[in-house]
Amino acid sequence: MITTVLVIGEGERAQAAVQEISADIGDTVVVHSFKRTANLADWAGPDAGATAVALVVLVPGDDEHVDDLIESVIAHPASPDPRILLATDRPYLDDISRALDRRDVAGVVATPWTPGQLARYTRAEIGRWLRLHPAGGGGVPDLPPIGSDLLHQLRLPLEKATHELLAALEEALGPRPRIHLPAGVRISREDLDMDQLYIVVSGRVSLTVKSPTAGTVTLNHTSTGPIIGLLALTDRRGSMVTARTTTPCEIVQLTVEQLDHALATNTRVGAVLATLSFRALSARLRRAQSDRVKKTELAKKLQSALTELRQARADLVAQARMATLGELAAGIAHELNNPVAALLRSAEHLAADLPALLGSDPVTHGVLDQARAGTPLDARAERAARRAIAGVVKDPVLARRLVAVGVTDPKQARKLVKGRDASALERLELAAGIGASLQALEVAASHIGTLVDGLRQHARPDGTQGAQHDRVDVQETVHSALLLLGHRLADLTVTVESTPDLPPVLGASADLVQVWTNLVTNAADALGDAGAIAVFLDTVDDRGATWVRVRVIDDGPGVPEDVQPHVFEPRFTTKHGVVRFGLGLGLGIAHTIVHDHSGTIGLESRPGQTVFEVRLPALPPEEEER
Amino acid sequence: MKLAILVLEDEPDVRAALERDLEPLARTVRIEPAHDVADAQEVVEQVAADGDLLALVLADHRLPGTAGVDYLCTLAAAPDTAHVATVLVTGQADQADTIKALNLAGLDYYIAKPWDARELESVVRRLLTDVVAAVGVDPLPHLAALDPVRAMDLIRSRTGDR
Repeated sequence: MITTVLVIGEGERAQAAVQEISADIGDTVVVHSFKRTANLADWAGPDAGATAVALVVLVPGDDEHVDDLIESVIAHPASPDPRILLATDRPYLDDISRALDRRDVAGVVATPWTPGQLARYTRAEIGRWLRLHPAGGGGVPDLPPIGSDLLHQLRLPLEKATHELLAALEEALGPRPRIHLPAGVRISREDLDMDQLYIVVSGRVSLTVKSPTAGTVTLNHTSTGPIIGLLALTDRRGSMVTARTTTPCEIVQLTVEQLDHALATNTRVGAVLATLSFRALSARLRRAQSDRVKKTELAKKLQSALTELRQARADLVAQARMATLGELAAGIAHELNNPVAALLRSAEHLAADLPALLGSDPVTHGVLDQARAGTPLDARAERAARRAIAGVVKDPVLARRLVAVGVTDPKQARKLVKGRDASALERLELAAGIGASLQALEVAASHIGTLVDGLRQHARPDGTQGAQHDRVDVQETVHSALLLLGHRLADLTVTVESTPDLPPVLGASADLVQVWTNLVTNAADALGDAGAIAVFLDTVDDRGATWVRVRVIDDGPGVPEDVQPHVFEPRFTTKHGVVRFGLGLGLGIAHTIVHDHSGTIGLESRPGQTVFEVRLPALPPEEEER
Repeated sequence: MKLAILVLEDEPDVRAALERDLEPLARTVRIEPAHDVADAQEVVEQVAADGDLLALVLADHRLPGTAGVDYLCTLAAAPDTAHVATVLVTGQADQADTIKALNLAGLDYYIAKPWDARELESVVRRLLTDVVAAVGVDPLPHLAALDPVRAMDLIRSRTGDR
């Protein structure tokens, strides 16, 4: 395995680098030398069989910008991710911030370097590169051995380091007795002065702290080092924690004086103690850092849980309010039921009794009945009628009044005008007025009745469950609904398409008519003055059953996305201060009825197409035969 | 030749009520109802065909199809009907509609529903008188439907001219 190394730079230093590296590891690396990074552009790349560039030794000129140099090196396709050693005699560097930020610089070597050191660094960096890029294959050279005591001991297993400390201590103090403790012994206690040091040779010790709010908190075992009492020694305060054995332990006890003596007589004690303390502290620091991260995460979770809780509470309050309103509405509906019935009855009685009171005049009766039953003429018909009547009675005012009470036949008009005085016309106008009032009364009462029924049906949806469920032809109920809605759909295009042989469903046909009525009304409301409503009937097989599917589709503006999840929730809308039960309850009632029929109802909506889909379980054929 | 008033309103009840309140003028002035803009256009043509003079339009703002304001604009823009006095009778017109009516239809009066019968009558009389004066027809045959004081002034000034 041949590794590729680049040396970039001019002058003695660069030459020295090439020579030192070639002399040291020339058998495993190919060293390419360039005077400037610009020359890299003409380089064809590593030799056949060699790796990509593993190491770049960069020797920048005095006026060259190191960041720029490094960027042009890593821009070369053959050296996407090299280790970079910077060899420079500059006293300070202010142009490597971008490279440091990207962690491009593996190391900085001050020139001139101690001969042999550059080759040593080079071997180490190539080793690191090969570890990071194992695809290159071949043997990975070992990193150079650690020569210093401190680094050596820092890398020793903890247990070994502890034994080394004990050995060093006993060298100075003579053999130390091992103290054996069962679990549950407190070695140090919070707020008691700590004037001893314990070395835990084996076993586990847990540290606890008392917190005013959380009681006793146990610190993680990983933060317990093999030396207990060290922190207390450093800042000469009482112990911060309570240390308690959790398993049988072997410990060695030292007084401050003994430690002092050992430190003075054996320098190794200091070195080992320092590394052990260093490790204990860094373990605690790491623990503290990760605890801090966890704490932040917990705080965030807590925050979002709090937000959710608040939202949930607001929802509950809203639900409770809705429930109260629902009960109130049901109560009002119940209370209104009797007065409405009374209104309707009264209107009927008035209509029945009035003729007797009016006497025998058939014209008056006719006028009354017509006003009660009739729809007013449109303006064009009215003008025509007036012209005709005016031709007979010669008075535009009289003609208008006659037409207004419903007299449109010129012959009848002539008879009326000839035979009667002025008060007779007034009488007819009164009769027409009474007829119109009766009509208004009946319309208003039945309108209130419908609203009250809707409210009651919604407030006690189980009322509908009692309804007789028979075999129902769904298509028929759809047609009934459209027939009922005829007047509302005048301006819209409504089509119904059905697959032949649609199976029947088990249900209450009046309730199903109500469902289609509500869905189509909803579509018509969405369309306004113009648009198309299509009703498709077919069957689908789903979840092991056959369903009769009814889709009501309109090409209106669509249901806003934020409203979609709530369309089936019972609501009433308030527009211009007028409470409109019908609109808000319609879909809720449809939902209730469909569920009573063991069916499903769903909505899919985007601008230009809104689909309400109802599925009702189809009756199986054998059921049909009964 | 008669003066004509067009009552453009789609609600039959409201239309009837407007006509009833105009009854004091009905023997002198021709009053024609219409329920939408197409129907109104028919009336306008019929009035012209009969040789009568369309003098005033009372229009509701909310109508099926074309809005009342837009129809008044059309009338104001046509040379044959530019002289016609226009009154918007409405329960709800927003500011933009009102501004449009004033600026483009040369709206002469704005009556809010529900209206006062006496106010309606006096407004109609005043506007009819304005039209008579502006067009220059003889006020005498229409006197019963005009503002009495101003109509007399008109007659005096006409005799003065002679």
